[in-house]
Amino acid sequence: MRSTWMRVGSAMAGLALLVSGGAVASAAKAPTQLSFDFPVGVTGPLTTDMQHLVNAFNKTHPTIQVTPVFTGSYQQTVARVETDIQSGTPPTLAVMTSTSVYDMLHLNAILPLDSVAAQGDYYPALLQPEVKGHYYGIPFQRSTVVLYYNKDIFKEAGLNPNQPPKTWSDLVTDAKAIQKLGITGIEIPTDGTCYWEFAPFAIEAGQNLASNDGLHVYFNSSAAKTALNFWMDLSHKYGVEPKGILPWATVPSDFESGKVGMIVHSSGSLAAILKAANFKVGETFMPADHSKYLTDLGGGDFFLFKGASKSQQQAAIAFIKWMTSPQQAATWSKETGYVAVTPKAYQQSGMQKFTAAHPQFLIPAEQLQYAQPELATYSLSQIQDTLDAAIQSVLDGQSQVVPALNQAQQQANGILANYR
Amino acid sequence: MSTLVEPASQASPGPAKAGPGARWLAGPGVRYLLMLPPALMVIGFVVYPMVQTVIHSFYRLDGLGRVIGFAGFGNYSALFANPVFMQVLRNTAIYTVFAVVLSIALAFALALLLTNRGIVNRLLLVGIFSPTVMPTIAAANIWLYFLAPQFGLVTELLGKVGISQANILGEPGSALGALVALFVWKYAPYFTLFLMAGLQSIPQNVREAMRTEDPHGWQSLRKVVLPIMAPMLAFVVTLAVIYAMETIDPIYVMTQGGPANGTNLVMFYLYQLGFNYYAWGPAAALSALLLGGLSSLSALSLIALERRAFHWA
Repeated sequence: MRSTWMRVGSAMAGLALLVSGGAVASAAKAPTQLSFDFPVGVTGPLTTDMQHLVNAFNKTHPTIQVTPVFTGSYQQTVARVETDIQSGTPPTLAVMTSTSVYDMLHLNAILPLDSVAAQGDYYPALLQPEVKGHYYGIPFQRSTVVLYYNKDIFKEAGLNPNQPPKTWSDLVTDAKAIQKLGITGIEIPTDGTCYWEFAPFAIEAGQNLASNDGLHVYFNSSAAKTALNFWMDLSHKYGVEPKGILPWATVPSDFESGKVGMIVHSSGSLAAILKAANFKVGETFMPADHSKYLTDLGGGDFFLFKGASKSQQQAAIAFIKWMTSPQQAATWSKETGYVAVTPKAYQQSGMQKFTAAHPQFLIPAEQLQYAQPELATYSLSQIQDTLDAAIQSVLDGQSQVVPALNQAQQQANGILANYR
Repeated sequence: MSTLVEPASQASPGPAKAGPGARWLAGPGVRYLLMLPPALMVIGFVVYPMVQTVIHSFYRLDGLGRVIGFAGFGNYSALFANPVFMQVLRNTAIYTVFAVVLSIALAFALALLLTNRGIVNRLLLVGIFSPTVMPTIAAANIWLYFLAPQFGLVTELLGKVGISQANILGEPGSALGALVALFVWKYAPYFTLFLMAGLQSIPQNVREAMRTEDPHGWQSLRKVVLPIMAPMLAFVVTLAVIYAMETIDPIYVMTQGGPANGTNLVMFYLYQLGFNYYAWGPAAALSALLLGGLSSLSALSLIALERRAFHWA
């Protein structure tokens, strides 16, 4: 009797061993799990588009399982990533503004991706600036500041719909003509991180807002003063823009509903605007002050974080390469309006057909030759907030251009002194 | 502990042979055991972080919140040296005064009006109470679209009365005003409930006396109603001040502290200091100040409530 029980028992134990052994074996074959944080900074159904892309990747890469995690706006994503780093569980992969690089380096959180940058055929402008001899961000959803205009309203106002304003004075003339129809001439968003829409005007007037070492800003340069004076003139002198602060989120809605003739916004908003507008949408370079069409870059890069296992890092690099390959870059560009990060994307036959029908999608790529890096420093949020507040206080009539920008410069110097 | 010895002689239906230790385990032991999880929660998630924050406020912290040196009052002086913080304090003071005074004045008026039980009043109460139960994030998003320039509801209405191109969230003053309005809209009905409860504590015969002796109600309001209500009012005022100081979600949704820091209130600034600026030292200092300020305010009001409580003997 006893021996029977023992035999049953040992058989059970053996079975258990077999089962657990099998489990271990299948765990070894289980795909590498990879979650990546991504923000959405423009209008449109980008979270769905992202899910489609990731599903396609997972299907073609059975050894890797990527889970995309939508993490809100760019600022919220940085805050979340930073909290994760603080709690000792950094993400493996995240899309963040390319400008986050200095703060992430200061937190000692990211790994360089030089080999990916070298092999990727990316537009050189999108890899700039090189930071401390390395490339950290791999361009993914990169955008430029562009001018959108309503071709139907242009026609109605007696303007040539195929000749958008080329200079700042053209911009004023055209906006005045539109204003005569009882329609607002132009809207430039000025809430939140308005430094970004401001930068093209400052660059155009002669100087970018910051150096490329993360340590110096030029908020009170004569270029910045010229640019801010022009912004003020648009609403206060020429009366072609509503006074006060205009929200980033509702400016495209005003444009789509035909309440405004021209807007300045991200090229990443193009797809959503085209979908919502029932008129002919024109997209063009930022108008020039000295006929240079300068603009600034924006948008997000892939960053790889320290602390992940080797296999996760390899999986992440495979994912980055796939996401930024010509085919995927073309898809993401078509769905959003972001610049496709490699020129090869525009040679894809599907993309060529698409851009033939929607030439607006070519503008940001053509603009890259004139594009300058976005404002990027250490303590970036605080530096940006300093300039944003200065610009907004001027637009709201609380302070004058010169003292506001001088004060912002002084505050920024105080913050950056800690890093110099 | 007397409880350990006391039950030793009695013939309880419990385990007869058990010693005093086992009985302690069955009696007070169980009570302490049941208390343990919530107590640990409170210690782990409330007391410990609070103490840690106060200690950290005297240290220099790096971007990850790790201690890198002693700072003395350095974090506090850095906080007060920043012009933005001074603006934040000014904003918070203005916001709190307006939000508290307006919401409580409205709540008091509503309580007086609605205190008679009638079906109409009950329905009205349910109606005006609806903003209170709505999550602030949802409410703020609705308001965001009410106030949007060009197509917002409020903007259109203002356009009809001749104020064209109103951009309420686009100017610091009116944006702060919108936040005050949101606070009043959300909390006045809530405070009304407290004040109605206070009014209901006036006995029926006293009310009848007031009606016959003082038909206009002014004398009885001043001499009877207000003194009776004083402790309840003090309580509601404290509550309102704390809620106003804690305001962050509508700012996060509607203005992000802008334009030009015009709606940056102390709680949002605290968030910015920590999560956007990685300035954990000054953030800890501000937390410590808020902790001290708000808890002493609560303590004072509780003492006042105890002292001045009105009892119908």
